Amino acid sequence: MAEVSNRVLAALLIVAIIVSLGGTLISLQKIKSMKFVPITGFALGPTYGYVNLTVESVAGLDFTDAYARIDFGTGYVEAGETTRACTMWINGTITSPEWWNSTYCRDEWNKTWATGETPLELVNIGTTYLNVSIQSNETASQYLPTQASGGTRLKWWFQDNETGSCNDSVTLGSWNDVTTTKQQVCQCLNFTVSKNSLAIGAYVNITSDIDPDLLDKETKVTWTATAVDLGATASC
Amino acid sequence: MLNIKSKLWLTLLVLLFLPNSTWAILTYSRIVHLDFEPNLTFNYTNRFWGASNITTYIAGNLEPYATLIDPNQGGGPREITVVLRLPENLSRPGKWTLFVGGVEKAPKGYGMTAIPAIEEPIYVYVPYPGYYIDLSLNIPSVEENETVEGNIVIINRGHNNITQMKLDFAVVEEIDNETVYSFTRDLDGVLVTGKTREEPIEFSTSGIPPGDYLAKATVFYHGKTKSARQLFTIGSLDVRLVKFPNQLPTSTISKFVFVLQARWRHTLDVYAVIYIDGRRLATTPTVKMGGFKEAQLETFVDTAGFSEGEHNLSIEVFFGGISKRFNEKILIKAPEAEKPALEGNRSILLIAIITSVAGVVVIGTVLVILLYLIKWRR
Repeated sequence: MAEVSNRVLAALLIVAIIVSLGGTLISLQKIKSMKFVPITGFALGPTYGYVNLTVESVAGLDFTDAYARIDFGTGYVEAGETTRACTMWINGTITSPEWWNSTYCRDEWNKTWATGETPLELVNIGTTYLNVSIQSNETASQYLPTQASGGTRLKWWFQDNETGSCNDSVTLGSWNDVTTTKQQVCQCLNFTVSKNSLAIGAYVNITSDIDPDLLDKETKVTWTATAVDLGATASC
Repeated sequence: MLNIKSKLWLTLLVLLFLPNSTWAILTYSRIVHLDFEPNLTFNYTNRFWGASNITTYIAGNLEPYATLIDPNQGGGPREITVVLRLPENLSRPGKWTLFVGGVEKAPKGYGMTAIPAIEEPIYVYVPYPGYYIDLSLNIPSVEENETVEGNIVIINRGHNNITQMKLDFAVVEEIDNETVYSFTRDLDGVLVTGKTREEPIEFSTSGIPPGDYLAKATVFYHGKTKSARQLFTIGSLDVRLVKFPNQLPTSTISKFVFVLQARWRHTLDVYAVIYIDGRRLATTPTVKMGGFKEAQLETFVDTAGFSEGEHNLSIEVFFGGISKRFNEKILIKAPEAEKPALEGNRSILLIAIITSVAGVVVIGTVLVILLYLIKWRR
């Protein structure tokens, strides 16, 4: 049997393509005019589709990872004839932190603790206004009990981290002893990026008569920032 | 003995606020407002996420009437349901609240921690005897010269229908308390118990300078008054770069002085960072810039390492919690060498000599001409 030449193959291919395309077109025309609706890829209805998208508002509160810790480090209070105290605090904003420690702070508590430290940053990461309050699970004397003086102190300080974050003025904008009852911090925290964050400062005062025997090493102080959702169109 | 003991122990005392794994809590904003109905049952669902260990809870004065159904208490992201079954009566009129909350569980083993919690409220309104309204404002912030389109929402929370209402509305500057816009309007019609009326508020801000303002509304009704207020903003925080140096000498530490102008009504704390070709060169001290006033900022920049020619200058200005970057061009060129004093004197001397010689030549020529004329007449 003689071999088929390339020319003949090309001609056959062209014929096959023409027959195939022609058959497809004729079939589609026939199907369109049929009274029942067979399963085909032919679009019979409107040639457009609908996409429904509902964006729901979200309420969210976040301690920014990079500014979610204050490390006072390891240290002790220099002992003396009478009870002495070491006070350390940090406040201000993330970009302009301020800190201080008193005379009898020793080891890392004496100045070195503040390197690179900032206040905590609490951010409204949602799309609604928030009413923010703060509460501690323990007071200073519960967390750092003393033998006699009762002088230990834990305090907090709140302020706008970005100007205009709190639509009303921030309350607790000075050093206040932590409380186990809820205290309002900001009645209306904005959600607009660039003005949606609060800075939280911390103050610790430790006396030299702190009672290690009474201290529960498993106990911890937890500050809970609670935000009540005010909605995206709140009047504030 | 006590002090030694304390010292030994305190050496080990670490004071640390330490982050948990996520430190975020999120939920859908689903705030519910219900008018009180005896024995009403209301089912509420929502989702909490953002942390891997979320504790959900209910709180508020409606808590005794609510049940929380959480399939995975303390677990990760999930949907929860709350069933609120109101009693036959509530003891007082007004707003009652149920908070549906989620809180991230505090981590173990740390001394001091801080955690976020988020609460969605369900409000139930028990009607007041007689006449009583609730009032709220929705006034949006706008840009300069735009029209404010907001509204005042009045809700009848009393047992009686409201048939007489008059509205006083004013916009006052937040700090100076100066009124920039106001009107009084009778609100006709009947506001039925439990119903809401939205009164549109529309006014142009043309001629009102950018700044923070307070919208105040007072409604007078049946011998009572109710007031509400809301902060809003006209315009946006902005500063302009008025003046800056267009050239600096090469390889020199030079004073860099520039002037900014506030486009904001209130005093701003302003500072700036100077960049040339993206290299951070200096930061200015913070200065106070009064409303719409100019402020001069100064710092020193070192142009060592920059070649002669035109370079990209950026001045990033920080104010009011935001920043704005001005991109300009600056010429860095070799400082012009001062001419020595002697050289200057030589030039003056040369000019004097030339002038003298020229003078002598002119006078001599004139004399020669005169002599020639005298001779010619004779």
